[in-house]
Amino acid sequence: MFSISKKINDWIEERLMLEDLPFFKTPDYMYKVNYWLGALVAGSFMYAVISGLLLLLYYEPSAGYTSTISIIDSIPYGSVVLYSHLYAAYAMIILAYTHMFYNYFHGAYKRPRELLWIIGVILLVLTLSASFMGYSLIGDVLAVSAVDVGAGIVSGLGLGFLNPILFGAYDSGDFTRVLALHIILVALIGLFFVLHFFLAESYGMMPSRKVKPKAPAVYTKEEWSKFNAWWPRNFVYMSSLIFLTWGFILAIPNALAYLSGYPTYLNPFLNPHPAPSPSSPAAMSVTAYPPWFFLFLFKIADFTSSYLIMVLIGAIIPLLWFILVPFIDRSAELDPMKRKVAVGVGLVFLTYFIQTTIWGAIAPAVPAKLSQLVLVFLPPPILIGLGLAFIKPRGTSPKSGTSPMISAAIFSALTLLFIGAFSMFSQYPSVLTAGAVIPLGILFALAGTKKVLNADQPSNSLPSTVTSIDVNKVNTKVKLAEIMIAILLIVSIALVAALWTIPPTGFLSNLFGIDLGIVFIMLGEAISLYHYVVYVAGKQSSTS
Amino acid sequence: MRLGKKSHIMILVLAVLSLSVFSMFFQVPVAQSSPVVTAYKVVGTTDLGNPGSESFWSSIPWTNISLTANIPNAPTSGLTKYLLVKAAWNGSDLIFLLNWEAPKPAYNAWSAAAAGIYPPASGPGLFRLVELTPGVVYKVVDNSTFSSYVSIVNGKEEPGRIIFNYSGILLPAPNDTQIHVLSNGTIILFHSLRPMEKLLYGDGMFYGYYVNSTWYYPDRAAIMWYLGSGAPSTMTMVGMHIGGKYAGQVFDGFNFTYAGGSLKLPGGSANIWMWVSGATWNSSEDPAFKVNLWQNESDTGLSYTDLHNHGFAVPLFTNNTNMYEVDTSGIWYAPVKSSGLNDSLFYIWTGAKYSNGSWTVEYVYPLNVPSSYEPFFAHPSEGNIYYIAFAIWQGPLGESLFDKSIVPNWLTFEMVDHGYVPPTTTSLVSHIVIPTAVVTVTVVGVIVAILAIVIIAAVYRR
Repeated sequence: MFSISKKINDWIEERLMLEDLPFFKTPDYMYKVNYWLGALVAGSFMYAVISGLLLLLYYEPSAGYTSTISIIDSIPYGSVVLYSHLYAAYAMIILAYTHMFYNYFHGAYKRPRELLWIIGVILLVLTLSASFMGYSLIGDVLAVSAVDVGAGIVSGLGLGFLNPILFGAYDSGDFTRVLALHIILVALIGLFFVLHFFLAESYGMMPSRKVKPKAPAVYTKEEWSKFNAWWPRNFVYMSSLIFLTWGFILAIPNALAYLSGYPTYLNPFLNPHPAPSPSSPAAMSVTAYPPWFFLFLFKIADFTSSYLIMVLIGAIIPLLWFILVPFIDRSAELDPMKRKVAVGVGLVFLTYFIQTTIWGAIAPAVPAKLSQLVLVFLPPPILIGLGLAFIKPRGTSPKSGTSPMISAAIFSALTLLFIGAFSMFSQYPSVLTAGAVIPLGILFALAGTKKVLNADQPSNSLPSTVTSIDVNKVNTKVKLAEIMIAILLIVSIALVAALWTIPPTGFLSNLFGIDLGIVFIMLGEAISLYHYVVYVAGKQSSTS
Repeated sequence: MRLGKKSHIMILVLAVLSLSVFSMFFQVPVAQSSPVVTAYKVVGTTDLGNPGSESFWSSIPWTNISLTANIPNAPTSGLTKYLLVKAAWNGSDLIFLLNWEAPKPAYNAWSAAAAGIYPPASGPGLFRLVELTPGVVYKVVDNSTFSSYVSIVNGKEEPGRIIFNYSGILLPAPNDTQIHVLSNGTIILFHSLRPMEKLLYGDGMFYGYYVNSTWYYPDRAAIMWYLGSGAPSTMTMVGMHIGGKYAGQVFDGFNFTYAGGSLKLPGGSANIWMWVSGATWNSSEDPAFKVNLWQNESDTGLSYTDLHNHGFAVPLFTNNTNMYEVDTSGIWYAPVKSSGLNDSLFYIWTGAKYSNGSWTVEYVYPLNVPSSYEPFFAHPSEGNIYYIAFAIWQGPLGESLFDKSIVPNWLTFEMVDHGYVPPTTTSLVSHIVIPTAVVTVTVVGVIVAILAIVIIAAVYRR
């Protein structure tokens, strides 16, 4: 069965000279999704570009909202393309954050990848900006209020003269300028992506720390030459990932289009439908909220009345940190436990981001008092700081004592109790509150100096797994995979046949997106199984 | 085995952690319940010359009541954000004490209705000035159809009829309409009539009442009692109709089904006690009292007896279509009955003072309501639940008539047979209110931080 495919492979390889591609050769252990998060981001980006170009054929920016509605209601499969375009952007943002934090905690910003990292951070900013502009193009009451907020921030920073340049006459329903900027920003993403991609290819993917424990973590020429060539294995593996990504991008929003009745705070996350027109009476009853990826910034606006402080906290400080981290954390260590400051800051940013996003969803535009900010934002850095302080890197000599996890947890509980008691005392000074705060303070101080909690490290040794490959087992697995591939392909064909029975417009048209999405997911899965059969199992049986 | 033990310890530790977090909020009420006005049984008499000074008030706490704009989009509506209320009863009288912040008191501003029975009246408040929505333009049309019309523009009389135009919506003004056009093009309509206001409001041309340093309206406070049986059909304050002077009024070709101020709530009626700084406040700052208007029976047709130097509150009665004055003279609205309501205009006594940037108004309502008044008055008694509402007008800031601050929902009212008893919980944290959203995000933060650390320790350390 696979000899034909080999022939096809060889034919393509020869004609396109794929062997000479300057792409990074890949070691076997890297065929796991966590090494390919960047490819997933790129896949979502490609989908967004393709669907965006399709939408561009029909979207009329001078009549933003009417045009959006006509794409949904009267253009064949218009809503399918529009909703999946929105979710491609969502997927791209989520995956970009995942990709960034994954590499951050792995120390991938270290030598020699500093520039690669910085371009990545720039790409994140561009992605968020392009998404904001794209979200605004919907032209509904939410989009207009989102631009209002954006324009308000620009004016608040004393840059009000930029508003007509940035947003044009959006408040009269004309989104020409917004569309132009959306496309310009996407083009910039493409440009920086090419740079990012070729830099990534030239350094290669970040090797496992077991192989390269210190920076610079790159394979030498000799090591590199022994790995799998880009064609055909990487191509196959990547195809499966891209089909899966596209499948989910298509299936999820089109399925969500049929969902209703969830609480309103889930609206920013779950609702692909546009809100009412800003000029309709129904707009009066809509609570303004930004797209979910800016909920955190929206909430920060409730912390302070100064736009400058808001932008500092919400954007400039985190961005500066991420851009400068390669120059701050300069040691050769890649083990997260040996670069605790960088890891700690990253974890705190991540926690704060999740917290403020949720806060923005459940209590939008409710001003937060300083005491509430302290209550919300003090525990995470304390917990993270303590956790990191008590966890030792691998390879430190084991000593007897309390498990560090337990010590950390007890210490954290003690800290929280102390903070609680202290804030109580500061607001209601009395004998009772003083009686609570003093002993807790003493315990806290003692624990801090490790006199109470003798925390230490248990043994780190893990049983090393000795893998002996059973040829029979592999053969059974291969058989199973082949059957699965056949089933997936047959079901896919049936689903593709069913596609043409779905009406191109109207209520049922989103089934097209669900159907096509499932087909893509099945194809992705089939290709992934093919990859296993040909490369993984094939290699195992040949080495045993 | 070892792993099992570890996971048990982990669960225990997480439980301790969650407990420690929740211990911070122990006994904390998560949300404030909607205010309920309670009248406590007290011993003592009122001193309307110095409202709020009576000793029994010191043992009763204020109830803080949020107010909202009656016309959501008018810039002059909803200027009083909250109202403080205390209530008490001493066996014979029900007493309310109201307090609200007002940056400027409306001294010497006439109530237009009171000025109406006193021809020499002059000064602010004699009539209402409406500021039309920016963008409204006008044209004086002088053709054969309107040949009998006269208009006054910037003090100059012109033949023809004024027609307002707001983005293509046309509204012809009645004969003798007087307008003044400000330098920025804003149109001020003089001698605003109730039905005209309804028409302007309906066409989006009503922007707000116009005020400046010399022209403004009296301050007002009102307590409204729901008179229907049981609870109102909706607890939301659907408010009052904007309408004509009386139900069935025909104005300039338009027929007004409702009188302005009539109750929108289906199937109900209400009794309103209205205090007006320019008519019912016994003070030299009140132009009506200043000229002894109420003592002059030939002007009012009613006998006012000023026993203790106090003012009064106008009793009003409203049903679904009309608004009446509960007396026989009909100074503000048509009289509800032409006879048998002697002295009822002065049935509810009030005292008021303005100090330290806020108004304090005290109402005294005799609980033994004469039977002839009964159909139009509230008759609260101990142990039952009643539904009441409050409204406040700040005249110097442009609030008048239907442009006011009002409670968003009906409030329940109860008279109890004891004095105020402070809550028995002595918990030191009982006063801290932490919103649920804050609790949620705090817990989320703790969970995410712990998860992040566990993941870093377990996964990234490999």
